[in-house]
Amino acid sequence: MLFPTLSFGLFFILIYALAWGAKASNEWRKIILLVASWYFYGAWDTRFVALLIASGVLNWGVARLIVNAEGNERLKKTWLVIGIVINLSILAFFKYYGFFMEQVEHLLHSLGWERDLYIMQVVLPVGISFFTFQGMSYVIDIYRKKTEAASLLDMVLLMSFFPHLVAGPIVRASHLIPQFKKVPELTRGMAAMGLALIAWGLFKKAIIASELATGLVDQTFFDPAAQSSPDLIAGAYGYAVQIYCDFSAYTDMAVGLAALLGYRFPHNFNQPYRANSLQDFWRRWHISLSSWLRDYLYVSLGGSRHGLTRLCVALMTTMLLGGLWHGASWNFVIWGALHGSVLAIERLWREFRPKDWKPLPNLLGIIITFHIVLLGWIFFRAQSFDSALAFIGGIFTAGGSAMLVTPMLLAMIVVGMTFHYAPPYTMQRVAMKLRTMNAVAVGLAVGLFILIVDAMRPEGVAPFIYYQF
Amino acid sequence: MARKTTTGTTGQGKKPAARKPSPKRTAEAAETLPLDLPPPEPIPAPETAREEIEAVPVEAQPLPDALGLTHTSSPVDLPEPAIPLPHDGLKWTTTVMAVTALFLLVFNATALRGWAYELTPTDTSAKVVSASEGWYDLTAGIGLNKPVDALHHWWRGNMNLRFPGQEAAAPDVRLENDQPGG
Repeated sequence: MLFPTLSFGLFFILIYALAWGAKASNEWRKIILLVASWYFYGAWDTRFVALLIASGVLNWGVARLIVNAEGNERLKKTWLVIGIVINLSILAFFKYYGFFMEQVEHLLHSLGWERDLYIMQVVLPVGISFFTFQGMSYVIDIYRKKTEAASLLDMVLLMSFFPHLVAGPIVRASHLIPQFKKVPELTRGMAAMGLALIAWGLFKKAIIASELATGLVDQTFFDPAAQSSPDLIAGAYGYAVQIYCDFSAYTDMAVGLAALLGYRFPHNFNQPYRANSLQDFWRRWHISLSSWLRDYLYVSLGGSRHGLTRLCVALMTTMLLGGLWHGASWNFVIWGALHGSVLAIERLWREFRPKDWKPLPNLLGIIITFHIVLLGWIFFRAQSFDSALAFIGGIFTAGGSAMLVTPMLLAMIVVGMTFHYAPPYTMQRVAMKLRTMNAVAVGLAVGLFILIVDAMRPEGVAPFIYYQF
Repeated sequence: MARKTTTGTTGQGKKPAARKPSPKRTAEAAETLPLDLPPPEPIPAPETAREEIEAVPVEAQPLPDALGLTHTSSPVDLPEPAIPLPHDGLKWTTTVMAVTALFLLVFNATALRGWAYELTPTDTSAKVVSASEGWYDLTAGIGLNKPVDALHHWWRGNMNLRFPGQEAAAPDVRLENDQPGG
């Protein structure tokens, strides 16, 4: 069940009515939201609803054991390690088993072993990386005493809550559990911002991301060797715009839907392509993941507390694992390595830059950063390492004229880039205006906006890119 | 109401760098807040996200910081308006959603019909298809689908524009599918 579909719209209207209809009892309200979330998840594959529930119960149980072991540091740590190992084992089995076995097979073949290994085909549950990380953050926060222990219902709902379930943002227990403690209040401001985010997300996904994907990006990345240089260049820029419009659209809609149910989700994007360094980029792109990696991985690896060498190792390891979090593929490893090494270089440059050298002009920093990110996206999107190299090589050597990129697709790339340079707080200003308006007028305006988007969108709705992670 | 000016804290308990307010934001704040402000009062570092949210005075609710987002702020946090709004958020939102749904039901029967045809064929879905067909015919009969169709044709025409020397666009799949029985 995809957000920008009529099926989901009808589902949400029903859940909205039931949830607010049950506001007299917070517990029943949460049970309704929980069952709705399981139904939502079961629409992909009912088998994995059990995995979702088991994961929630497991993390709740481990957290209880950590709390009960208070005063016995060794036992607490043991439970923490057990909790993390189980979470990572679940993730590893579903996400990395196939990749690992393929690597073993390649290795055996290179050593002269002629027979093929039996490799089980494992179906990847949608959103497993998101809910596993969420569960781990809860267990670690309990160990670090950063959050209070949650009830079983709250914990399972935290991990299953349908707006963020399949593609984030990664909402931590410390953010959402306190909100589950009482029936939330829906203010006009919250609702107006929620509606504005949903409508804006719909526009970005259904028009910009979908048109760029079907008209340009999918074709250029499918067979880069057959494309001309202008098409490959447009394809690379197009993908940068597509992935932003796709992923940020999901986040916008998730935040908006949660807001209409009375819950506040954190930011996940902040005009990332206006970043003037890669460090700045990671403060603006997929913020809930980057802050997760910072707080639970980078800091645990020593962060900046043990000198420059250790810091660079921590940065590199964090980004390599961040790359692998996206999927089991060497291309994601390369993507992570690129980001990790540039982050380390930036840090070293800040440390050792001669004092009489001026910093890079802001605009130059933005341009360089964007193109490093763009290079990373080619590896991120390409089917294989060879395909990525063919894509990059083709940009410089293929020649020819544009056959795929059209005037409107080019315009969409430009429009998609301008989102990053729009005045800050634009959406908030729209919402602040909306909340003062008559409800009927706002309803007509939202209806008209959705009608226009629906008239303009191409046939069908492709799944969000981040569903595969 | 006396305004508290927070020095702010992140979720990690660190003080963020002091930021000079832009003249525009200062002017906006002046519209909504009394100018005889007391000196800033520091707020103790919160332990939980909820405490942090509640510790920030309403008028200083964080909008996204252009220099970096605070750990717990949410895009749906808006500053309180100068003139308080009625506490009718749920009623207001429900009305908005009802009007939106009604508007789309009237002007976008094509989408409803398309959705009905995608349902798994059962006796129930056959009734849904029949009802949606009837509704589509009714709205189309009085021309309510014309604005969407016109916009769709215009937009697809633009999308089909090509640079000189490029091949012509393929036929529009959606328009073909949208034909009755398609």
